[in-house]
Amino acid sequence: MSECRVLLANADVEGIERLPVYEAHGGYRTLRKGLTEMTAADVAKEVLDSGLRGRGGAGFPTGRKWSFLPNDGRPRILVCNADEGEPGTFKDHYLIHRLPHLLLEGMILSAYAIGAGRAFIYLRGEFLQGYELLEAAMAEAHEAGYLGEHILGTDYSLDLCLYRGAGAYICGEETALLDSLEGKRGIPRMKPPFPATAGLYGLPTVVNNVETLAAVVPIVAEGAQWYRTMGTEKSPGTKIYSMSGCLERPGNYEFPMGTPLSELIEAAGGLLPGRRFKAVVPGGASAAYLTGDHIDIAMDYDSLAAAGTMLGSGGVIVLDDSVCIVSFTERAIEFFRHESCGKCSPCREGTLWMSQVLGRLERGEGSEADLDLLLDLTDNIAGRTFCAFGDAAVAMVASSVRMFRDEYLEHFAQQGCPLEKERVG
Amino acid sequence: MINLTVDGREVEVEPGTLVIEAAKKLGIDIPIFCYHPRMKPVAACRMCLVAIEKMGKLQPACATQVADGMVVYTQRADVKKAQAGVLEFLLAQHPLDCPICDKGGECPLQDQAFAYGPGATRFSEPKRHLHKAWPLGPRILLDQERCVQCQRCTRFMEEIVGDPALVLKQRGAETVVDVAEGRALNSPFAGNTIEMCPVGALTSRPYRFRARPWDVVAVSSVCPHCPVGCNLTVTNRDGHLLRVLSRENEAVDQGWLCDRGRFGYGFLTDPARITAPLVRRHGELQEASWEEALAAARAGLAGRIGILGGGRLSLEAQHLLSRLRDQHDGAVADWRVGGQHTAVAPAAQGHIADLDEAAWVLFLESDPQTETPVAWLRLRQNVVHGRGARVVALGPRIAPGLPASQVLYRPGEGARVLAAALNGQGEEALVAALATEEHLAVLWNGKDPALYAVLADLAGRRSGRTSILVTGAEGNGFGAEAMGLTPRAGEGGVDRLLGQAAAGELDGLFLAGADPLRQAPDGRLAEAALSGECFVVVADVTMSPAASLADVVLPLAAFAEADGTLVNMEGRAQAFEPSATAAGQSQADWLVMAGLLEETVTLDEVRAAALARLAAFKPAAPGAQDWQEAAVVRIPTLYYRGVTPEPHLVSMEPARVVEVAPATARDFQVSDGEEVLVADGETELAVRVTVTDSVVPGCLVLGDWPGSNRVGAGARLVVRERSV
Repeated sequence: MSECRVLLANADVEGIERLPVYEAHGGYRTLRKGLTEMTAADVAKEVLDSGLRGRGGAGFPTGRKWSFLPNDGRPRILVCNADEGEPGTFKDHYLIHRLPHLLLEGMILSAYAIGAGRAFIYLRGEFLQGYELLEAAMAEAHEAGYLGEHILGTDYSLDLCLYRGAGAYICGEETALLDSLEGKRGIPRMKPPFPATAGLYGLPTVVNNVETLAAVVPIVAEGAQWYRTMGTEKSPGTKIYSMSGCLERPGNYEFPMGTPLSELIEAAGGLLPGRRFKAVVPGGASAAYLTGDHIDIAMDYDSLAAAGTMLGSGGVIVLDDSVCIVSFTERAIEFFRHESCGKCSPCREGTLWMSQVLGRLERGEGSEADLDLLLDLTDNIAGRTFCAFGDAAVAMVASSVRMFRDEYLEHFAQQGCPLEKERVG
Repeated sequence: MINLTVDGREVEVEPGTLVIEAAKKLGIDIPIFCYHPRMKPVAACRMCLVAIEKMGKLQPACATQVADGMVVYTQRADVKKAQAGVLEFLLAQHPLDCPICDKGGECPLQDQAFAYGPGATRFSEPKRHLHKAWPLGPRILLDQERCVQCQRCTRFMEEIVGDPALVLKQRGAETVVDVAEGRALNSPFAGNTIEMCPVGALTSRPYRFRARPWDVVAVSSVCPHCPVGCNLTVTNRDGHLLRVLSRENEAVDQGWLCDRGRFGYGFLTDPARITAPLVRRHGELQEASWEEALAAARAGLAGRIGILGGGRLSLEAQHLLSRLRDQHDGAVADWRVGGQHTAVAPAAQGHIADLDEAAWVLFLESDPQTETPVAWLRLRQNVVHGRGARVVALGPRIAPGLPASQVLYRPGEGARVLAAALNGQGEEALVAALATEEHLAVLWNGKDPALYAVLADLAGRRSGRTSILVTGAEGNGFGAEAMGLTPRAGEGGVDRLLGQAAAGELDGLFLAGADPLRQAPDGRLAEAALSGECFVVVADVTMSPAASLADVVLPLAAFAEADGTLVNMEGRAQAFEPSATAAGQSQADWLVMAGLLEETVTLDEVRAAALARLAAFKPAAPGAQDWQEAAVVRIPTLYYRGVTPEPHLVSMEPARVVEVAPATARDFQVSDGEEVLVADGETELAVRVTVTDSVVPGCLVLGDWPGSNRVGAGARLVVRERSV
């Protein structure tokens, strides 16, 4: 099966990041339609009816998130979460680099729909090139009357601000993002209140992912019913899967939600010659492993949740038999140790402890008792931390011990990594 | 009301109550580290996780509000496992250096590890190493290894004090508490962080390695340094005072102390402590027996005598001192040696707790953050987090610290400004504050006599509730006034007494816990008084400059070394007990007064008499005080009281600056930051200029440091070069 490109339909067009080319391929026509032919409520209803679910990882229905904004007359704010930091996920990066105007068009439509006069893009600090591209695109959009005062001659005005983060994974969590955007230390806030009632500077705020906001354009252009013709009933539409790992052609691939994993792997060129499939992390480093038993699993929110893992932001990392699970897991937990904000005890101390234990196990120093310790540590972190980071940090560790216990035992037996020894010879 | 069940027991609480408080009401203890009832919850430590029916995950009891029908379990197996798990995490990297930790033995981490933790650790990795004695400021050290990142200290400084001097640096397991870039932890409230720290991370520099909790004896006491009268627990070891802690009294201090109160016990061991009675022989002060010294004092205090001081004495001593005055025909007593007019509200005597409720607050020539720090802290919670009281600050100098509408006027104009505002004229916010039906609190420094009558009038004319508190007096000024230590009709006050002494019209002068050289508004007059022919008796704790000029010196025990009673700014009498051995031969102040009276009394008798007198006390305008603030206004301080500077408080002493309005700076041709001299007659004081809009033009504002009372009406600013 080939790709189903909706968001990425024009991604390969030469110069699409510039306004004239984007306009030549239908760009901003949907914005004109939305602002001149539809009321804000119409746009919001279309998005609600489309069943679009947040593409940042949690999969919360976007239209419902918008509906939580209180009608109390306070100014509203739209924030685009472009702090894509999940290891294995690189779709927002791609959208920003190839289709910055699609993101802007989606943001303006969404801001119009929720009645926001101010919007912010919180961009991952490392995306310097993306920053420059977005800055240029915003200037073009301003110049052309798509941004700023009286957009397209209507009564609607939007002030959009681009902000670079400082390189903290936790700032992808929406309340930490808001604190960071306010110039504070980026750590998750207490909820409630939720951003819809008290977000940026205490104002009603919607935070949406880049891919989510981009998807608003085709939904408004073609309608909710059309959007629902793709994907599954509970996860409608298409999804950009970031395919990485041991594949012939890693990259971003857009498919309908619920496409079997095997088809995604095939689209990405399949495994490298002579290699056997070992495992997949289907939703970025925060997701638990799946083994070959699930090679045909439908890649949507509910099917993956039922299998004990998650779709997350759609970062699919495929591992073959050349990859040491212990080493790979240790690398992942090292990431989480480094990125833990340190606010709550189980996450701060637990990620450090787990990384210390896994580092030791990878070197072959340890015993089977350490595996029980590891599992118990994951049990003492999961569900006990302030935010979802803790659950994310333990998913891979816990599933690796449960699914690949033999690989750990082999490390003890050989007092080191067998695959490492094989490589070194 | 909300009904919920905790561990099978029903409880009814107000809506909005936190689960942890609901459990507390049932006597169910939920362990905590980061939660503090006076601060917003952060749910960071995860120690208080409890199980709540219909909620998938365990919830932090410190941050979860009750709901009707909620069913909470604090003892379920999953809760127990979570508690043990959190403790194991907290202890994993903890240095476990309890045997050398000041907190050991009174440490919540130890206690909770014992009560809720696993018996042994499974942690076998190398521990992280960080700074062990990291100075945050002059009074506080941080052991970064012991810190559990509960953020109580950082939150206290930011949320309660409004001075975000402490921050978290780095992230994850590398997170450390530290002083914000370019700052030092030198807030007058910083010491509270030591007591709030649930581990041994923040330690007191003076107390460091001095004792273990089982070595010390704790005694209830009351802070003598300002008229708030914060309640204290004082701990001593073998009779030596080692530490001052808070003793929460909701009505007074809410469990906070300022650093003057917490660290201000260095004067007990001041090298200048008077340890024996002294009598001047052949021009030299020499040790004498109590009998000899008392006899000499009695002999010297004959004829026309004046008694100055008493605002720092116990209520019992004040009572006896006023009897001493009554025994001498024509003797005049005045406690107000520092130029205070009154310590008691003319009407509508306020309570400190009123500061929670007030909708409007007047800072009437008052600097409450400096004069009554803990009362100010309480008011700040109202302004910033509570009902949002509006502050109107008026006077010749507006004190910094809280957002306020400002009304500047020249010294002595307060009564006119206030009276006009009562009639609807003047600055809008001031007029509104007086006219409102809402609760108005007035914090007055109690100096300008003309304001006394206006305030008495104001309380009667307002329809809304009024609470007046006098902030400027000494710690027991209220008691001194109640015991009648003010001039009676026809008598002169402090300055007239000093003038008489200087003119040789006084035979004897008794300085009771007072040093006019330091305290009197006119230091030069005080000097003339003490160097005259007048016989001078001094009763004091340390060898003050005045004491060194005296003919008889009687050593007093300090507050922590004796029994007594202090009456705070709201008229609340609070008793304190001895918690340290009195230095040398020093005696409780009331015993010394009894000795001068040649009476044998017991504490109970004197206390009963004094309290009866306090109960019967009706405020009335105190007698005359000729002195009036004019060209020079002095900023009060709690931090320059001792003879020898206290090492941990040196950094809090007032800077040698003169604050002037831009117009004044122009008149004297000086500029901000410039080193100048304040000159008046032969006095020249070296100071640095601060130009500010918070001072009325024409006024020179000086800190209350030694010598700053030697300039007065003739003071002018002179650039140093020009004077050479």
